[in-house]
Amino acid sequence: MKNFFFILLFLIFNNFNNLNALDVKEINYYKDKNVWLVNDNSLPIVAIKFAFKAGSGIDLKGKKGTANLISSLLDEGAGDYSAREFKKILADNSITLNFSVSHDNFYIDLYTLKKNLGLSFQFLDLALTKPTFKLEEVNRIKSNVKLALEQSYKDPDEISARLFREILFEGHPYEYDILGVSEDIDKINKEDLENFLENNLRIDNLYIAASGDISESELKKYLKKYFKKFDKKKKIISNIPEHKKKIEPKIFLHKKYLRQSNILFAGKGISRDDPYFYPAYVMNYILGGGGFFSKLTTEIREKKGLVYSVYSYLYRYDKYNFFSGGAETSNKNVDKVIKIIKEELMKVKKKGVTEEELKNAKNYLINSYVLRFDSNRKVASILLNTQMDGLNTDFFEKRNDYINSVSLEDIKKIANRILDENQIFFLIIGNPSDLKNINKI
Amino acid sequence: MKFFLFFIIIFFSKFAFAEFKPQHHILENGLEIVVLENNRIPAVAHSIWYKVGSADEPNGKSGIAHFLEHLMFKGTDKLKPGEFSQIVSINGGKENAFTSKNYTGYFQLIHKSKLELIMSLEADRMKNIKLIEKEFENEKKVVLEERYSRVDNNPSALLSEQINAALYMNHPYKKPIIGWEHEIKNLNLGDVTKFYKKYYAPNNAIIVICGDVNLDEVVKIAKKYFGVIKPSKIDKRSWTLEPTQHAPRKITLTSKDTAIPVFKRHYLVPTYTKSKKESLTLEVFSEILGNPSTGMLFEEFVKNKKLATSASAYYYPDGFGDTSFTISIIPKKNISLEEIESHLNKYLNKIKKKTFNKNELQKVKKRIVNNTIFAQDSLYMGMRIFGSSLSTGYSLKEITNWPKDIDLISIADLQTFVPNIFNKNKSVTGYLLPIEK
Repeated sequence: MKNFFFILLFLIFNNFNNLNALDVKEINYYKDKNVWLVNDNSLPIVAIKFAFKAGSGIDLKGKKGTANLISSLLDEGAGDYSAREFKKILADNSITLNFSVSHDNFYIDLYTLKKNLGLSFQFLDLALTKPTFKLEEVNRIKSNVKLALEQSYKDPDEISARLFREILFEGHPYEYDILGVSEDIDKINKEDLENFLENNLRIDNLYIAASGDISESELKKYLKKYFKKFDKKKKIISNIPEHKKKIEPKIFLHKKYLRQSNILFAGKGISRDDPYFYPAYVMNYILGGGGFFSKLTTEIREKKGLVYSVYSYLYRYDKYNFFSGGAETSNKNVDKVIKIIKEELMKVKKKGVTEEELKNAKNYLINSYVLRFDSNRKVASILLNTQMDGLNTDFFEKRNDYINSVSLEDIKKIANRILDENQIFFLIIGNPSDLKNINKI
Repeated sequence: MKFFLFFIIIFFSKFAFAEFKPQHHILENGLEIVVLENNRIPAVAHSIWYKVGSADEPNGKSGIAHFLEHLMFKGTDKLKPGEFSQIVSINGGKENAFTSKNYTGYFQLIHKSKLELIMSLEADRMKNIKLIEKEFENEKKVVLEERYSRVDNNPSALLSEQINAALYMNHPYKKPIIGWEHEIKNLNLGDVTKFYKKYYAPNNAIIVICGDVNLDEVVKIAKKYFGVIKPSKIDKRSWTLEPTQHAPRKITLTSKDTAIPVFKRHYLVPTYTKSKKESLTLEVFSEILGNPSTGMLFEEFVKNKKLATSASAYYYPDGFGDTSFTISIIPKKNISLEEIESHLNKYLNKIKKKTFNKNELQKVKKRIVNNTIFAQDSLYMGMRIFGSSLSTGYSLKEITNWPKDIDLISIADLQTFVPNIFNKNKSVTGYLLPIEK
C-alpha cells in the first residue's frame, strides 16, 4: 500500500460541473403544447413519462378512490381486447405500460423497444380512450383495493403513513389514502370512472417527457396523432385548495406492541419557487438528507448506535410543502432519539452549518448530479419533474451554479425560518417505555 | 423515503443476462476483473464481490458476513471510521454494500476520473481494516436495530425466515443472512477478524466495472493497488448437503400486524450450478406459470376460479446445491388458505401432466431474451448481473451465452423437468394468518 498517499492528491477539489448538462430538446407537438426529449441512440429503447394534473386529490367526496381505481383498470381490457389479451400482447412484445396516481398527478410510464413504439402508442391510446371497465374486472380490482386499505390499519409502516397523513393534512383532500376510503369504493360506478377520464385527462393539464432512441419528428408525430383528442372544449378545472394548517408542537403516540418503534416528524417546508429553495435543499442534505454524514446519521447511528436508519427530506405537494423525517428504534430509546433529532434541528437553526459541512455537501451534490442520468427511465422522470416544477430546459446547465452559490448565511436564514420548535410534530407507532406528555391517538 | 445503508439482500432479481461484451483479466494474485464498457455518462459503477456470504459462516456465528460488511466502513490503518464514505461522498460518489448467502459486495457509482481513487480505497480495506472494540459494540447495536426493522417488525419477513429454516434441513442456506438475534448478540471481535482474514483476499474477489472506461485502464490501476496484495489460501467452497427429504413441512405464522393472509409454497429445486439445463428450464417455466399478470397461476386462481387477488411464482437460479421454487397466493376475502392449498394441490397435479404449447413457449422465451436489451439501460444492472453470477459459480461464457441457452429450451425439456418440481416431500407450505381482534 505504498502508493496510498495518492489519495491526498485526489482530494483536491475537482469540479466537473460542465459535464452535467443534458442536451434537452423542447418540441412543439400541438398548439402550445411541448414535450421534452433527450435523444440517445445507444440502445434501441424508448422511455416516455406522462403526467396529467389529475391525482387522488380531486376525488369527489363520497367517491374517494376514483382516480386510483381508474389507474388500476385502464389495462384491464380496452377496445376489443379482454384484460387477458391486453396484458399478454404487452408482455409478449416486452412493452411496459404502467398507470399510477399520486395525490396531485395521474402518471403514465411507457418503456418499450423502439421497434414496438407504434404498437405501444396504439395500446396506450386504447387504454386511455376505450377502457372497457368490465364489471368482473372492476369488482376484482375493488376488492383488492379494499384489502389494501384494511392493511393500513394493521401493518406498522402503513399505519404510520396513514396517521402521519391524517395529522398533517387534517381537513384537506390530501388526508385521504390515494387508494381512497373503503366505504366509498363500492359506490364508484362506471359512469364515475368515465366522467373522471372525460373531465380530467386533458391536454391542457398534460406534461410529457421522453428519453431514448426516438427522433424529434417521430415523437411529434405520435403525440399529435394520439393526444390531439385530449384537447377538450368543456373546461372543468378541479382545483385542490391550498392547505394552510399550522403544525402544532405535539407528540402523538399510537400504541402498538412492536419490537421497535417507528418515529416520524414533520415541520414547515419550502416551495420550489422560493428564493431560498436551494439553501433549504443543501441544509436538508447536511441535516438528514442522504449520505452517511448527515448530522442525524452521525449523531444517532454512528456515535450512539441507536438506529439503523434515520433521515429527513423536503417534500412538496402542489398545495403544501413540509420538512419531514423519521427513524426506527428500540422502544427503550424513543425518548433519546427524539431528543437528539430536536437538538440537531435546533443547533442548525441557531448556528447554521460549518464551512466544511457546506463545502462537502456542495461537492457531493454538484459532482454526483450527472450520476442521475444513467438510464432512459431516470432521464425521462427527471425531465418530467423539472417541467412540472415550471422550469426551463436550460435548468440542467444552471442547476449546479444554484447549488454552488448557496452561502453559510443563506443556510442560517432558511434554517431560522423553517426549523421551528413550535411548529413540528412527532408521531410514534410502538410502545416506547420512557415518554411523557403524549397525545394518544 | 427511507434509505438504507449497508444492507442484506435476499437476491437481485435476475431477469436478464446480456448481450453485454465483457472484457476480462485475472491478475497474478488471482484477482478477477470484468469490465463492461458503457459510455452513456462519464461515470463508472465500480464494484468488488467477495466470494463469501452467510452460507460460509461458522456454526453458531450467523450474521458475521453481514456484520463484517458494516465494519468495512469503520476505518483502516490509514482511514478514520467513516472516512471511506466521506471521501466517496465529497468526490460526488454514491455507494452501498450488500450481503447475500453467497457473496458480499461493495459498490460505488462515481465520475470516471475518480476510478483510481476508489480502487485505491477498496484495495486498502481488502486487508487493512482496523477493528476497534468500541466501534464494534456500537455497530452491533446498529445491526440489531436493522434486524428489528427488516425482520422482527415485518410479519412476511418473519414468515420467510421460518420457511427458509424449514426448507433446508442441513444446508447452511437455512440461516437468515442477517443472522439470528441471539447469535448476533454473541458475536465478538475475534470471530469477525478471523472471518475477514480468511476470506478477504485478491484470489477470492472479483472486480466488476460497468461504465466509461476500458479494460487496459482498469488493469493498470488494479495492478498498482491490488497487485501488491498477496493471495491467501482459500479452500474450495463446500457446504453440508441436504439429506433426502421424506415429508412435507408446514409453517403457520399468526400476526396482529397484518390484515392480509398469505399462502406460500416453496419447493426445493436445483440451482444453475447443480443442474444447468434443468435450471434454465425452470427459469422459462416460472415465467409461464408465475408471471403476476399473465401467468397460468394468475389465470387459474384470480381469473377462472376467482379464489385469489394475486398469484405468482418465482425461481431464483443462483447458488450452490438447491434453491427454492416459490409460489405466492393472496386469497380473496372470505376464501381460506386451506381452500387455496387444496385447489393448488389439484392444479399442480394437472400441470405435471400438461402438454405445453410450442408457440407460447417461443413467445415467453422472446420476452425473457428481450430483457437483455433493457438490462443495459443502466450502469447498475450489468454490474449486478456479472458480479452476482460470477460469484455463484457461473463462467463468463455461461453468462454471455445465457440468451442462446434460454432459446434452446424445448417442449421436451419442460415435459422432463416440470414434473420434478412439485415433489411434496421436498416442500414447505407457509401460512401467514392475521389475528382477528
